[in-house]
Formats: sequence, structure tokens, C-alpha cells
Amino acid sequence: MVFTRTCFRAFTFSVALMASGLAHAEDVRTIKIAFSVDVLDDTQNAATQAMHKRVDELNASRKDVKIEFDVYDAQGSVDKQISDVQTALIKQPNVLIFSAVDSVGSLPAMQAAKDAGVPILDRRPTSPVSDLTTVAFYSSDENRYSKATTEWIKGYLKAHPDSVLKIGAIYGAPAQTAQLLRIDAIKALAAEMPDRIQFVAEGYGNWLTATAQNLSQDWLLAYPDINYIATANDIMALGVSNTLISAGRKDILVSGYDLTPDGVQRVKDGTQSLTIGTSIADNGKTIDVALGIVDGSFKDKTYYLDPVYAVDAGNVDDFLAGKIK
Amino acid sequence: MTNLTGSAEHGGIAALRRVLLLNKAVLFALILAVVLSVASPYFLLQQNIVALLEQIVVMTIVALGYTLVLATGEIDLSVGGMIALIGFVIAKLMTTYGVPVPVAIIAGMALGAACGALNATMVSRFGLPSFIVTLATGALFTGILYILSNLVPVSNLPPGFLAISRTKIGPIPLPVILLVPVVIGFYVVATKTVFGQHVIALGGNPEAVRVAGINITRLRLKVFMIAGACYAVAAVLLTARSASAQIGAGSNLLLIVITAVVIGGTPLLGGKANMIGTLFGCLILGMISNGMNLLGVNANYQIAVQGLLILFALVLDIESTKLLLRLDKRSMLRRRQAGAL
Amino acid sequence: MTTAPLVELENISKAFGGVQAVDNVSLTVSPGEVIGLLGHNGAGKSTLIRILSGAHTADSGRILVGGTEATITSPKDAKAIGIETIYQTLALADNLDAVSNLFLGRERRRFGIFNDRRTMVRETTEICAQINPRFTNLQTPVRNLSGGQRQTIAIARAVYFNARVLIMDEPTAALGPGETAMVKDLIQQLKSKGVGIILISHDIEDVFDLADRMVVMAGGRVVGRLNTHEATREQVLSLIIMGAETKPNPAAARP
Repeated sequence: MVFTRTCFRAFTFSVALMASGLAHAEDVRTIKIAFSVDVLDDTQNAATQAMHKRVDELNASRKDVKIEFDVYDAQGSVDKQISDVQTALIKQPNVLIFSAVDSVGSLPAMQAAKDAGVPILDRRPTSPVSDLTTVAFYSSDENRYSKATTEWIKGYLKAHPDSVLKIGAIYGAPAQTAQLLRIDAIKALAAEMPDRIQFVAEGYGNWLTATAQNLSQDWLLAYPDINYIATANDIMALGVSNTLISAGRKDILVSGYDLTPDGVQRVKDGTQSLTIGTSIADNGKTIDVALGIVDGSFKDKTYYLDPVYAVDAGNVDDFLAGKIK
Repeated sequence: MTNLTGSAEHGGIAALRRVLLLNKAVLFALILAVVLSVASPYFLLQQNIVALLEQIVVMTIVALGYTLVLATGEIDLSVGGMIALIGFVIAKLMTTYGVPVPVAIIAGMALGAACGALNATMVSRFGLPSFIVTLATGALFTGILYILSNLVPVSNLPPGFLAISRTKIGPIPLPVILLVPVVIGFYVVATKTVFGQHVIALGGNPEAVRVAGINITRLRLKVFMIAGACYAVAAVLLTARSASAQIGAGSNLLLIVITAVVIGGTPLLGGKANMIGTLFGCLILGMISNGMNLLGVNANYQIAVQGLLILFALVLDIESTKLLLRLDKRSMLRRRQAGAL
Repeated sequence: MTTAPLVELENISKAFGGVQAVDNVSLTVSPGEVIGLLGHNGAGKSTLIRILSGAHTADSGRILVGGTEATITSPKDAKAIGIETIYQTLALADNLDAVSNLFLGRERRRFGIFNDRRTMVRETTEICAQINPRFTNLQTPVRNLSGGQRQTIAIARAVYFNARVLIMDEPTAALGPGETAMVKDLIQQLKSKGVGIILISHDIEDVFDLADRMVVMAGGRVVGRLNTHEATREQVLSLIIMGAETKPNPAAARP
């Protein structure tokens, strides 16, 4: 009898253990996040790293969820991106983070996700935002970049009441129209204050250091009064800064975008005047938004990555020390 | 007697026409220089000439090696990937591993030669067209670069390395001076050596070269390895000039270099290696870009002009070859008639 | 003829995939002798001469040169022992001139790496003057030359490098009557100098004019060996076409 009772106790105990084990397993929810990235270039790669880091942090700190994060690199091919998303959907993700190779060409990929009932966090939203998009995520918002640029220029002109900016503008690649806004905002400002800002030259640097370097070298000769070369990213700003170093010119402003570590370092060294952008490290927030979509806590249609920094000689030390937030 | 002098004079004009057609790049470059010096007051400034030369050094060194490749009738699409990879490896060796500058440069050249050897071996061993092989290896090189670099450029290069592009002798930057012996070297190789002769013959008729007992596999290997070493030198200069190894470095070079070589008179199908033409082809492309910048030509027009120029070069290549053939035929006919008399 | 053969091919066989291109073929060439090698396309003539010239290697059989066994694995080996080949295509690089073509692969060098162009021009001029005095366009690309002039270069190459055995594949196929006569004359000259010649031709009249002996191949085998002065055109044609003689004439065949 004693034996049976003990047996029974042991039995109930083990059942309880099993049940609690099951309950525990149910508590930890697995959330699958798929990320289809257009091309893992310099910036996208850094952003992806930040997301990985955030996933690791969350997996370590939150006991109730286990995040699985898969990245698919479309390598700049629309076709591959469509296949990538097909593959990703087979694993039934809870949310798809999407960065389109081409806003039109990549639509079938988004449609497939929508049809599968997977919400889409769109990291390269079109304008207007596609119906297929659940949340439009702006990591580099051209409008706010433009605003930060014009604010900085206004501040500069206020601090230098006698100076007139003679600008040479270096765009990226001609086919990518969104980035043209960055410089267009300066143009709009020039139209407002023609006596303070004038455009003297424009060219394409094709996002290449060497090309921007040649272009700015030629400009120094052709436009001796040029005093500000605005480039569409830090990679091209490096080319301009190289030109200025070898020409021994320290009187010319150089600006770039993206807040790359090299760009920020050049601002610190004084060979670049300004770099504007969101911090790549902040891209980990994509994961938080994605989780918010999955658990219903994020209800907005858009998300702007905050903040947009304008790093110049005045605040670069604080920025590097992590004091600017 | 009178007849003889008459035909000699005629021959003189035909010869001149031949020389001009064979050196159309030189002629074109001269015309362009005259036009630009009239159009822009800055063009002839010493400072601009120096800048122009500085801007074409990388392109020219790549193009000289490329001329050998095209002369054999092959093509190399891996040049962009190779340059970026080599630039990265050199920079990484110097910064992360503290390898001395000259050692890193030699390692880069060895890597370039090895990449070239891979291309040549794939072509020879498996009988694949170089077009396909180098398309694939180019992707391979780029992929390896992405894996190794994680797409992060390398900066903070040692001052000794940056000095390569920043040192000036008088007003002339070191790379421009370096270009002179390289051009002469390639000119001598192409025109005076047995190797150059075999390269050109290979582009003319591979079967003839094979039955002549020349080892084509080894010949091709040498050509691609020399080209790879050239790309490595270009990668060194580009990295030094950019003061950093950029992931996208050299990605624009392929089309530019092919255009320059073809304008220079080395046909796409091989059988000729005009090194001086290649130099002038690069000068032409450099002048067009520099000139349009000086003249403030709208950036969108610059792209169209470059496209037109490439088409023009290709048409000129075909047409001048035909014209040369016609001229040769005619003079041959005259000689035969003269012989018959 | 008591002279020892220059070259002896013994029981040569070569298969490509399942096809026996050359099947147990033997052939000898003596100094000053012209052998006419006849047969349809695909009879195995080309494969046989490619084996002798080093472009292919035989599966079995051996090659004796001057009585001793020779290993020929590349065109270079064949040239080194004095076997020169003039291909039907002539194997000239069209973009190079006569001088460069004549010396292709065997350039006169200075300091080991440089072309000794001056010497090569001089020697080309000399050799071409002997062979075809009217051919003087030595420094224009050969693509601009006539068929006879191109043939002159190919022959000059063989003469200059002291060919002991010369293989000629369809030497007159692309030539006009005047040029054909010139090439025939050249073959007679070489023959008188003691060069052994293997002549492949579709033109049976050429072969009857030039050859001392004829060897007819069909289906990779030798189907007939004839002495020219004993042979009739009907006999040869039926060997080529039927692979056998309508009227067997064993007395004419030599082993």
C-alpha cells in the first residue's frame, strides 16, 4: 500500500513537473523575423549588424520570447529578392522586414508576404507608401536629412554674417532620385537667400571616392571662389577631403551624409566639416518595431528612426563620447 | 622616272594616312587638347595638366595590362573586383597586421598575379571563354572582399603608404613619374620582345601559334598574371590616393579601360597591342572628363557624352580597320602591277 | 633505292571516342621521295599526319626517325627532329607579316627576350628570294597577300628550318594555275635536295605529277600502295571510292 501510494505520489509529481515544463515552454514564445535586404552594402550591413545585436540583447534580457532573425541578401537583384521572400515565407515568419531592391520590381515579393498573412515592416518605403506595407520605417528620412542640412547651413550663415556660400554639389548615382533631395533642399534655401548661397557647380560622384576626388580637383581650378562642396555621402566626402588636403586648402567646407565612422573621424580631425545622418547603431530599433507589430503594441503606420544627428566640429567630441542622444 | 616619283609621292600620302589611322588616338587627343585649351582658360594651367595626369594614372596602368589581355583576343571582366580586393588586402595587412609598406605592396602584386593565374587557368584548363570565367571570378573576388571586409572600408593607413600619392617631385606627383617607365616597359614588351610577338600572334590565329610549337597555356598564364600585377599596382595607387581602401573602389574602371584601349587602337578581337595608343586613349578619356568639369557641362550631359564617345570609339575601331585593309589592298595591288611591269 | 628511310611509321592506331580514325597504319618516307597520301575526307589521312606532326599522339604504334625510335608529343618535338608541316589552312597569323610568321615560335633573339628583327628580316629576304623571287612584300600583314605568296611563306618556313620530312596538306587547293605550277616546281626542288615529302591532295593529277609512290587510305586503314609509274587513274580512283581495286594488282603494292 505504502509502496502504491509512493508510486502514485511519484506519478502525480512527475505529471506536475511535466505540466509545469510544458507551461514553461508555452511561456517562451518563438518569434521569427525575416529580413530581406536589397544589398548588403556598407551601410545596410552595419544596420543589419545593429539588428543582430539588438536581437541578442533581447534574447538575453527577455525570458518570454525567443527571437529568430534570418537575413536574406538580394544582392541588388529584384529576381533574387522575390525568391528570397518565397524562401523566407516557407519558414512562416511572424514579420517580414523588407528593404526593396526596386520599389516596383519588388512588389511581387511584398504581395507574396501579404498573401501569406505576414505583416511587412518596410525599411525603404515608397512615396506614397504602398498598401502592402504594414509599417513604413524611415532610417534615413530624406526630408529630415534635408531639414538638418538647411538648419546647419542657416546656423553657419548666422555665425558667419560676412560669408557667402559658393557651393559645388556632388550627387551619388543619377538613377537614384531620392538622394537628390539632400542637395535640392540647399538649392531651395539658396533661392530664399540668393545673396548668401550660390550654386557654382554640380556633378555625379557615383558614390565613389576616386570619382569625387577627380571632380573636386577639377572644380578647385575651374571655380576658384568655391568655398563649400556638399556631397551626398561620406564616401564621396572622403574624396573631396583628399583633394583639399593635397591642395593644402583648409578654407573650404565639406559635408557628407550617413555618419560613417570614417566620416565622423574626419570631422574630428577637421578634414570634413559636417556629416548628417542617423546613427547606424540606432537601427537595432527596427527589431523593437517588428516585435511591436507582432504583439500588437505598435499601432502607427510609420516610424522615423531617431534622432538625426548633424555632427560638426562643435559637437563631434560629445557625439563620440555618446553624450548626444 | 616621272612615273616612279609620282608613285613614291602617292605612297608617301598613303603612308601618312596609314600612320594617322594607326595612331588615331594621338591625333584625337591633340585635337581635343587644342579645343579644350581654346574653350577653357584653365585647361593649359600647369596645375590642371598635373591634375589631369594624376587622374589618369590608375586608369592607364590598368589599361596597359588590359591591352595585353585584349591583344590575345581575351577579355577580363574581373578587373573591378580584383582591384577592390587587392586594395583591401594591402590596407588590412598594413593596418591590422602591421606589415611594412613595401612587403604589403609586394604581397598585393602577388595576389594580383595569383588572381590572374586563376583566370588563365580556368580558361586554358577547361576551355571556357574568358568572358564567362572572368565574370564569375569577378563575382568571386567581390564576394571574398565582402566576407573579409564586412563592407567596412579601411582607413588610417600608414603615412609611408600615403606618401606614394602625396610625394611630389617638383610639381609632379610621384605616381605620374612612375607611369613613365611603366608605359615604356609595356611599349617595349609589346613591340620588341618575343613574348609580345607571341601575344599578338595568339590574338591573330591561335591555331597558328599552337602548331608553331608555342605553349599557349603558358603564354596565356603570363598575360593574365601580368595584367593581375598591373591591377595590383593600380590598387596600390588608388588606395593611396583615396587615403583608404574603399569597398567600391575600381568598380567604374572596367568600361572606362576597355573604351580607352579600343580608342587607342587595340581591337576588341585582339591581334594587335598598341600601348602608346592605350596611353593616349586614357588621356582622351581623362581630358573629356576634366574638360567637361572645367567647362561646367551639366552632369547629365556628361553621362550622355561618355556613352556617345564609347560608341564612337567602337565604330571608329571597325571603320578604321576596314579602311586600313582597303589601303593595304590597294597598295598591294599597285605593287603587284608594278611587279608585273 | 638503297637509302635508309627518313621516317618510318609502324602500326600506328588512333581512336576518337568509339571511332577508329587510324587503324594499324605503316608508312615509310625515304630521302628525296614524294609519297602521295590519298583518300576520302574521313579516311584517316589528316589524323595520320597530325600524329606525325605532333598535333595528336598515337594510341599505339611507333615512329622511327633515321632508324631510331622518336617520341613526338607536341609540334615542337616534331620540328626539332626535322618534321615540318604545311597545313591546308597554312597556319599563318594573318595579322603578322611574312617575317614574323616564318619565325613564329622559333624567333631569332637578342639578350634572350628581344626579337632580333633585323636578322630575321635579312634571312627571310634571302630564303624567299630563293623560293619565289617575285615575292617581296615581306613586311605587310599576310592577310593582304595572295594564296601563292602565303604558300611561299609556309614553304619557306620548312626550307629555312631544314626540314628533312615535309608534310603538305592540300598545298594547291586554294591556288590559281600559275601559283600551282610554282608550288609544284618548289616540290621538285625540295625533292632534289633530298627532302622526303608526304603530299595530301584531292587532285589526283597533282599526285600523279609529283608522287613516286601512292598510299590510299579508307576507313582508317591502308587499302592500297602503288608505284606511280605502274598505277592507272582508274585503279587509284576505285581504291579511293570503293576501298578496293576492281582489278587487283598485287605486283604494284609494296609493303
